[in-house]
Amino acid sequence: MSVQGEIEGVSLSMDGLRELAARVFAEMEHGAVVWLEGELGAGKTTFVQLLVEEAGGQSASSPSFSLVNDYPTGSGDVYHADCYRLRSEEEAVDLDLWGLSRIARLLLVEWPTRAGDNVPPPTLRIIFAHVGDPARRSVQVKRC
Amino acid sequence: MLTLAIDTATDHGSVALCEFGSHIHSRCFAERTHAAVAMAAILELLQEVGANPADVSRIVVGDGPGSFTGLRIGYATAFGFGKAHKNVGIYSIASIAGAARGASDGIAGPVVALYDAMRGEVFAAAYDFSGSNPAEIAPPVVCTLEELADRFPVVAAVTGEVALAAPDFIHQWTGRNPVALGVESPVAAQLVKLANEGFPMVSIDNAVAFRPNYGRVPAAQDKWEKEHETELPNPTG
Repeated sequence: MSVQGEIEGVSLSMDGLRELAARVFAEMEHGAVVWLEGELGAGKTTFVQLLVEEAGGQSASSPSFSLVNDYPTGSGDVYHADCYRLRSEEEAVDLDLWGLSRIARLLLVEWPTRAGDNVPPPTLRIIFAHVGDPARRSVQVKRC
Repeated sequence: MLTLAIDTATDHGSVALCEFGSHIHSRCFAERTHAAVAMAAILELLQEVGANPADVSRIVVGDGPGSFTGLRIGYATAFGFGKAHKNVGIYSIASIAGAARGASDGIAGPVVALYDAMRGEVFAAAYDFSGSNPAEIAPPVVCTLEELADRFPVVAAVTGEVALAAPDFIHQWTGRNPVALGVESPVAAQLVKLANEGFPMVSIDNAVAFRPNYGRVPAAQDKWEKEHETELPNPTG
Protein backbone atom coordinates (compact mmCIF):
# COMPACT_ATOMS: atom_id res chain seq x y z
CA MET A 1 0.00 0.00 0.00
CA SER A 2 2.14 2.88 -1.27
CA VAL A 3 1.03 6.45 -0.56
CA GLN A 4 2.65 7.79 -3.74
CA GLY A 5 -0.52 7.11 -5.69
CA GLU A 6 -4.12 7.72 -4.64
CA ILE A 7 -5.92 5.37 -2.31
CA GLU A 8 -9.68 5.55 -2.69
CA GLY A 9 -11.80 4.94 0.37
CA VAL A 10 -10.37 1.64 1.63
CA SER A 11 -11.71 0.23 4.87
CA LEU A 12 -8.86 -0.31 7.31
CA SER A 13 -8.59 -2.06 10.67
CA MET A 14 -6.22 -0.79 13.34
CA ASP A 15 -3.46 -2.94 11.86
CA GLY A 16 -4.18 -1.46 8.43
CA LEU A 17 -4.02 2.05 9.85
CA ARG A 18 -0.69 1.21 11.45
CA GLU A 19 0.66 -0.07 8.14
CA LEU A 20 -0.53 3.09 6.40
CA ALA A 21 1.10 5.24 9.10
CA ALA A 22 4.39 3.42 8.62
CA ARG A 23 4.15 3.95 4.86
CA VAL A 24 3.46 7.65 5.24
CA PHE A 25 6.47 8.10 7.48
CA ALA A 26 8.73 6.03 5.23
CA GLU A 27 7.64 7.47 1.89
CA MET A 28 7.02 11.13 2.61
CA GLU A 29 9.97 13.41 1.93
CA HIS A 30 11.58 15.61 4.59
CA GLY A 31 9.32 18.61 5.27
CA ALA A 32 6.18 17.01 3.87
CA VAL A 33 2.90 18.43 5.14
CA VAL A 34 0.18 15.88 5.80
CA TRP A 35 -3.37 17.13 6.23
CA LEU A 36 -5.53 14.84 8.36
CA GLU A 37 -9.20 15.37 7.67
CA GLY A 38 -12.48 13.85 8.77
CA GLU A 39 -15.14 14.38 11.37
CA LEU A 40 -14.72 14.00 15.12
CA GLY A 41 -13.65 10.53 16.17
CA ALA A 42 -12.85 9.48 12.61
CA GLY A 43 -9.33 8.37 13.51
CA LYS A 44 -7.08 11.37 12.93
CA THR A 45 -5.43 11.47 16.35
CA THR A 46 -5.19 7.67 16.47
CA PHE A 47 -3.35 7.83 13.15
CA VAL A 48 -0.93 10.37 14.60
CA GLN A 49 -0.27 8.09 17.57
CA LEU A 50 0.39 5.17 15.26
CA LEU A 51 2.67 7.19 13.00
CA VAL A 52 4.70 8.50 15.91
CA GLU A 53 5.07 4.96 17.25
CA GLU A 54 6.12 3.66 13.85
CA ALA A 55 8.60 6.55 13.52
CA GLY A 56 10.21 5.58 16.82
CA GLY A 57 9.04 8.70 18.61
CA GLN A 58 7.23 8.84 21.91
CA SER A 59 3.50 8.18 21.90
CA ALA A 60 1.38 11.14 20.88
CA SER A 61 -0.98 12.65 23.42
CA SER A 62 -2.79 15.93 23.99
CA PRO A 63 -1.00 17.79 26.77
CA SER A 64 -3.15 20.57 28.16
CA PHE A 65 -0.98 23.47 27.17
CA SER A 66 0.71 22.44 23.99
CA LEU A 67 -0.14 24.18 20.75
CA VAL A 68 1.99 21.89 18.63
CA ASN A 69 3.34 18.52 19.74
CA ASP A 70 6.96 17.79 18.86
CA TYR A 71 8.11 14.17 18.53
CA PRO A 72 11.82 13.74 17.85
CA THR A 73 12.63 10.70 15.72
CA GLY A 74 15.91 9.36 14.41
CA SER A 75 15.44 11.22 11.12
CA GLY A 76 14.08 14.52 12.40
CA ASP A 77 11.13 15.89 14.32
CA VAL A 78 7.52 15.03 13.59
CA TYR A 79 5.28 17.95 14.48
CA HIS A 80 1.57 17.51 15.14
CA ALA A 81 -0.81 20.47 15.20
CA ASP A 82 -4.52 20.20 15.92
CA CYS A 83 -6.52 23.19 14.70
CA TYR A 84 -9.76 21.81 16.14
CA ARG A 85 -10.27 24.55 18.69
CA LEU A 86 -9.22 27.53 16.59
CA ARG A 87 -12.00 30.10 16.50
CA SER A 88 -10.58 31.96 13.54
CA GLU A 89 -7.88 31.52 10.93
CA GLU A 90 -5.92 34.36 12.51
CA GLU A 91 -5.45 32.36 15.71
CA ALA A 92 -3.26 29.96 13.72
CA VAL A 93 -0.63 32.66 13.23
CA ASP A 94 0.76 31.80 16.66
CA LEU A 95 1.22 28.17 15.60
CA ASP A 96 3.81 29.18 12.96
CA LEU A 97 2.97 26.17 10.81
CA TRP A 98 4.90 27.55 7.83
CA GLY A 99 8.01 27.87 9.99
CA LEU A 100 7.56 24.36 11.35
CA SER A 101 7.20 22.91 7.86
CA ARG A 102 10.69 24.19 7.05
CA ILE A 103 12.34 22.28 9.88
CA ALA A 104 10.06 19.26 10.24
CA ARG A 105 10.68 15.72 9.16
CA LEU A 106 6.89 15.64 8.84
CA LEU A 107 4.20 18.15 9.77
CA LEU A 108 0.85 16.54 10.58
CA VAL A 109 -2.11 18.92 10.76
CA GLU A 110 -5.59 18.00 11.98
CA TRP A 111 -8.52 20.25 10.95
CA PRO A 112 -6.15 22.14 8.58
CA THR A 113 -8.81 24.21 6.85
CA ARG A 114 -9.56 25.99 10.12
CA ALA A 115 -6.12 27.63 9.82
CA GLY A 116 -6.81 29.13 6.37
CA ASP A 117 -3.67 30.42 4.69
CA ASN A 118 -1.72 29.94 7.89
CA VAL A 119 -1.21 26.27 7.13
CA PRO A 120 1.09 25.23 4.25
CA PRO A 121 -0.56 23.37 1.38
CA PRO A 122 -0.58 19.60 1.76
CA THR A 123 1.90 17.18 0.29
CA LEU A 124 -0.57 14.48 1.22
CA ARG A 125 -4.21 14.55 2.33
CA ILE A 126 -5.60 11.67 4.35
CA ILE A 127 -9.35 11.73 4.79
CA PHE A 128 -10.85 9.51 7.47
CA ALA A 129 -14.50 8.51 7.84
CA HIS A 130 -16.59 6.22 9.98
CA VAL A 131 -17.90 2.97 8.50
CA GLY A 132 -20.49 0.55 9.86
CA ASP A 133 -17.90 -1.48 11.76
CA PRO A 134 -16.66 0.68 14.68
CA ALA A 135 -13.30 -1.16 14.61
CA ARG A 136 -12.59 0.01 11.06
CA ARG A 137 -12.26 3.35 9.28
CA SER A 138 -12.63 4.39 5.68
CA VAL A 139 -9.43 6.06 4.53
CA GLN A 140 -8.83 8.10 1.41
CA VAL A 141 -5.29 9.20 0.53
CA LYS A 142 -4.58 11.95 -1.98
CA ARG A 143 -1.09 12.88 -3.10
CA CYS A 144 -1.09 16.60 -3.88
CA MET B 1 4.95 41.05 46.91
CA LEU B 2 5.84 41.30 43.22
CA THR B 3 2.87 40.33 41.03
CA LEU B 4 3.13 39.52 37.35
CA ALA B 5 -0.01 39.39 35.19
CA ILE B 6 -0.31 37.90 31.72
CA ASP B 7 -3.33 38.42 29.49
CA THR B 8 -3.39 36.75 26.10
CA ALA B 9 -7.09 35.90 25.87
CA THR B 10 -7.84 38.22 22.97
CA ASP B 11 -5.98 39.47 19.92
CA HIS B 12 -4.41 42.26 21.97
CA GLY B 13 -2.26 40.83 24.73
CA SER B 14 -0.53 42.52 27.63
CA VAL B 15 1.69 41.86 30.62
CA ALA B 16 2.01 43.86 33.82
CA LEU B 17 4.25 43.86 36.85
CA CYS B 18 3.72 45.53 40.20
CA GLU B 19 5.22 45.56 43.66
CA PHE B 20 2.23 45.75 46.04
CA GLY B 21 1.26 49.36 46.57
CA SER B 22 3.52 50.67 43.82
CA HIS B 23 3.03 51.84 40.25
CA ILE B 24 1.87 49.17 37.79
CA HIS B 25 4.28 48.71 34.88
CA SER B 26 2.76 47.20 31.74
CA ARG B 27 3.31 46.40 28.09
CA CYS B 28 0.75 45.81 25.31
CA PHE B 29 1.45 43.54 22.36
CA ALA B 30 0.73 44.22 18.75
CA GLU B 31 -2.09 42.12 17.38
CA ARG B 32 -1.40 38.34 17.30
CA THR B 33 2.18 38.40 18.52
CA HIS B 34 1.58 36.69 21.88
CA ALA B 35 3.94 33.76 21.43
CA ALA B 36 6.78 35.86 20.10
CA VAL B 37 6.50 38.79 22.48
CA ALA B 38 5.12 37.72 25.89
CA MET B 39 8.31 36.48 27.53
CA ALA B 40 10.45 39.25 26.06
CA ALA B 41 7.98 41.82 27.40
CA ILE B 42 8.06 40.22 30.86
CA LEU B 43 11.85 40.37 30.95
CA GLU B 44 11.71 43.99 29.84
CA LEU B 45 9.34 44.83 32.68
CA LEU B 46 11.53 43.04 35.20
CA GLN B 47 14.50 45.09 34.02
CA GLU B 48 12.41 48.26 34.22
CA VAL B 49 11.59 47.70 37.89
CA GLY B 50 15.05 46.37 38.71
CA ALA B 51 13.86 42.90 39.66
CA ASN B 52 14.87 39.36 38.82
CA PRO B 53 12.53 36.57 37.68
CA ALA B 54 13.05 34.90 41.06
CA ASP B 55 11.59 37.97 42.78
CA VAL B 56 8.12 37.35 41.31
CA SER B 57 5.96 35.83 44.03
CA ARG B 58 2.71 35.37 42.13
CA ILE B 59 1.50 35.27 38.55
CA VAL B 60 -2.08 36.09 37.59
CA VAL B 61 -3.20 34.77 34.22
CA GLY B 62 -6.19 36.20 32.38
CA ASP B 63 -8.54 33.24 32.07
CA GLY B 64 -10.58 34.20 29.06
CA PRO B 65 -13.05 33.56 27.86
CA GLY B 66 -11.21 33.73 24.62
CA SER B 67 -8.76 32.44 22.10
CA PHE B 68 -7.52 28.85 22.30
CA THR B 69 -4.00 29.68 21.18
CA GLY B 70 -3.93 32.89 23.16
CA LEU B 71 -4.98 31.29 26.44
CA ARG B 72 -2.56 28.42 26.01
CA ILE B 73 0.30 30.81 25.32
CA GLY B 74 -0.54 32.76 28.48
CA TYR B 75 -0.76 29.69 30.68
CA ALA B 76 2.25 27.99 29.13
CA THR B 77 4.28 31.14 29.80
CA ALA B 78 3.12 31.21 33.42
CA PHE B 79 3.68 27.50 33.98
CA GLY B 80 7.11 27.67 32.38
CA PHE B 81 7.97 30.57 34.67
CA GLY B 82 6.60 28.61 37.62
CA LYS B 83 8.65 25.57 36.73
CA ALA B 84 11.84 27.63 36.73
CA HIS B 85 10.98 29.47 39.94
CA LYS B 86 9.34 27.11 42.41
CA ASN B 87 8.17 29.72 44.91
CA VAL B 88 5.84 31.52 42.55
CA GLY B 89 2.08 30.99 43.00
CA ILE B 90 -0.03 30.86 39.85
CA TYR B 91 -3.60 32.18 39.86
CA SER B 92 -6.28 33.02 37.36
CA ILE B 93 -8.88 35.75 37.08
CA ALA B 94 -11.23 36.01 34.11
CA SER B 95 -9.65 38.29 31.57
CA ILE B 96 -13.05 39.86 30.96
CA ALA B 97 -13.15 40.86 34.65
CA GLY B 98 -9.96 42.80 34.03
CA ALA B 99 -11.59 44.57 31.11
CA ALA B 100 -14.56 45.47 33.31
CA ARG B 101 -12.27 46.74 36.08
CA GLY B 102 -10.57 49.03 33.60
CA ALA B 103 -13.85 50.79 32.90
CA SER B 104 -15.08 50.92 36.49
CA ASP B 105 -13.37 53.91 38.05
CA GLY B 106 -16.03 56.33 39.25
CA ILE B 107 -18.84 53.95 38.28
CA ALA B 108 -21.41 52.91 40.90
CA GLY B 109 -23.15 49.71 39.90
CA PRO B 110 -22.71 46.81 37.51
CA VAL B 111 -20.05 47.05 34.82
CA VAL B 112 -20.65 44.72 31.88
CA ALA B 113 -17.74 43.70 29.68
CA LEU B 114 -18.22 42.21 26.23
CA TYR B 115 -15.72 40.09 24.29
CA ASP B 116 -16.16 38.72 20.79
CA ALA B 117 -17.27 35.06 20.95
CA MET B 118 -17.39 34.75 17.14
CA ARG B 119 -20.28 33.08 15.31
CA GLY B 120 -22.38 36.25 15.81
CA GLU B 121 -22.27 36.07 19.59
CA VAL B 122 -20.50 37.74 22.50
CA PHE B 123 -19.05 36.73 25.83
CA ALA B 124 -20.66 38.92 28.49
CA ALA B 125 -20.03 39.17 32.21
CA ALA B 126 -20.96 41.68 34.93
CA TYR B 127 -19.00 42.91 37.94
CA ASP B 128 -19.47 45.42 40.70
CA PHE B 129 -16.33 47.14 41.90
CA SER B 130 -18.01 50.02 43.73
CA GLY B 131 -18.18 48.47 47.19
CA SER B 132 -15.39 47.41 49.50
CA ASN B 133 -15.58 43.86 48.14
CA PRO B 134 -15.23 43.76 44.34
CA ALA B 135 -17.43 40.96 43.10
CA GLU B 136 -18.62 39.04 40.08
CA ILE B 137 -22.36 39.59 39.57
CA ALA B 138 -22.75 37.36 36.52
CA PRO B 139 -20.05 34.98 35.24
CA PRO B 140 -19.17 34.98 31.53
CA VAL B 141 -21.95 33.72 29.28
CA VAL B 142 -22.33 33.41 25.52
CA CYS B 143 -25.26 35.29 24.01
CA THR B 144 -26.26 37.54 21.15
CA LEU B 145 -26.23 41.31 21.42
CA GLU B 146 -30.02 41.26 21.31
CA GLU B 147 -30.16 39.06 24.42
CA LEU B 148 -28.04 41.40 26.52
CA ALA B 149 -30.88 43.61 27.72
CA ASP B 150 -32.74 40.64 29.19
CA ARG B 151 -29.65 39.12 30.77
CA PHE B 152 -28.30 42.38 32.18
CA PRO B 153 -31.26 44.62 33.06
CA VAL B 154 -29.26 46.93 35.34
CA VAL B 155 -26.07 48.34 33.85
CA ALA B 156 -23.94 51.25 34.96
CA ALA B 157 -21.26 50.91 32.25
CA VAL B 158 -20.38 48.70 29.30
CA THR B 159 -16.90 48.10 27.96
CA GLY B 160 -14.95 45.72 25.74
CA GLU B 161 -13.96 45.54 22.11
CA VAL B 162 -17.45 44.49 21.00
CA ALA B 163 -19.09 47.36 22.86
CA LEU B 164 -16.75 49.90 21.34
CA ALA B 165 -17.53 48.55 17.88
CA ALA B 166 -21.28 48.97 18.42
CA PRO B 167 -21.70 52.30 20.27
CA ASP B 168 -25.18 53.00 18.93
CA PHE B 169 -26.46 49.65 20.10
CA ILE B 170 -24.89 50.08 23.54
CA HIS B 171 -26.41 53.56 23.88
CA GLN B 172 -29.82 52.26 22.89
CA TRP B 173 -29.52 49.46 25.47
CA THR B 174 -28.07 51.39 28.41
CA GLY B 175 -28.54 55.06 27.60
CA ARG B 176 -24.78 55.47 27.83
CA ASN B 177 -21.81 55.27 25.50
CA PRO B 178 -19.39 52.36 25.91
CA VAL B 179 -16.31 53.02 27.99
CA ALA B 180 -12.91 52.50 26.38
CA LEU B 181 -10.03 50.80 28.14
CA GLY B 182 -7.00 53.05 27.90
CA VAL B 183 -3.82 51.84 26.24
CA GLU B 184 -1.97 52.91 29.38
CA SER B 185 -4.11 50.55 31.47
CA PRO B 186 -4.34 47.25 29.56
CA VAL B 187 -6.14 44.19 30.87
CA ALA B 188 -3.00 42.72 32.46
CA ALA B 189 -2.62 45.89 34.53
CA GLN B 190 -6.24 45.56 35.62
CA LEU B 191 -5.63 41.95 36.65
CA VAL B 192 -2.78 43.09 38.90
CA LYS B 193 -5.09 45.73 40.35
CA LEU B 194 -7.81 43.16 41.00
CA ALA B 195 -5.34 40.80 42.66
CA ASN B 196 -4.11 43.58 44.92
CA GLU B 197 -7.71 44.57 45.74
CA GLY B 198 -8.57 41.07 46.92
CA PHE B 199 -10.74 40.06 43.97
CA PRO B 200 -11.41 36.30 44.13
CA MET B 201 -8.73 34.34 42.26
CA VAL B 202 -8.43 30.67 41.38
CA SER B 203 -5.21 29.11 42.63
CA ILE B 204 -3.74 26.73 40.06
CA ASP B 205 -1.94 23.97 41.90
CA ASN B 206 -2.07 21.33 39.18
CA ALA B 207 -1.08 22.66 35.79
CA VAL B 208 -1.71 19.32 34.07
CA ALA B 209 -5.29 19.06 35.27
CA PHE B 210 -6.16 22.72 34.76
CA ARG B 211 -8.36 23.72 31.82
CA PRO B 212 -8.55 27.32 30.62
CA ASN B 213 -11.93 28.93 30.08
CA TYR B 214 -12.27 28.97 26.30
CA GLY B 215 -15.86 30.10 26.85
CA ARG B 216 -17.59 27.82 24.41
CA VAL B 217 -17.21 24.48 22.71
CA PRO B 218 -15.29 24.36 19.42
CA ALA B 219 -17.30 24.88 16.24
CA ALA B 220 -16.62 21.27 15.17
CA GLN B 221 -17.98 19.91 18.45
CA ASP B 222 -21.01 22.20 18.27
CA LYS B 223 -21.73 20.96 14.74
CA TRP B 224 -21.30 17.31 15.75
CA GLU B 225 -23.62 17.67 18.76
CA LYS B 226 -26.30 19.36 16.66
CA GLU B 227 -26.08 16.70 13.96
CA HIS B 228 -26.21 13.84 16.47
CA GLU B 229 -28.60 15.57 18.90
CA THR B 230 -26.42 14.54 21.83
CA GLU B 231 -23.39 15.79 23.69
CA LEU B 232 -20.05 14.54 22.44
CA PRO B 233 -19.08 11.82 24.94
CA ASN B 234 -15.34 12.50 24.94
CA PRO B 235 -14.70 15.97 23.61
CA THR B 236 -11.07 16.61 22.78
CA GLY B 237 -8.93 19.62 23.54
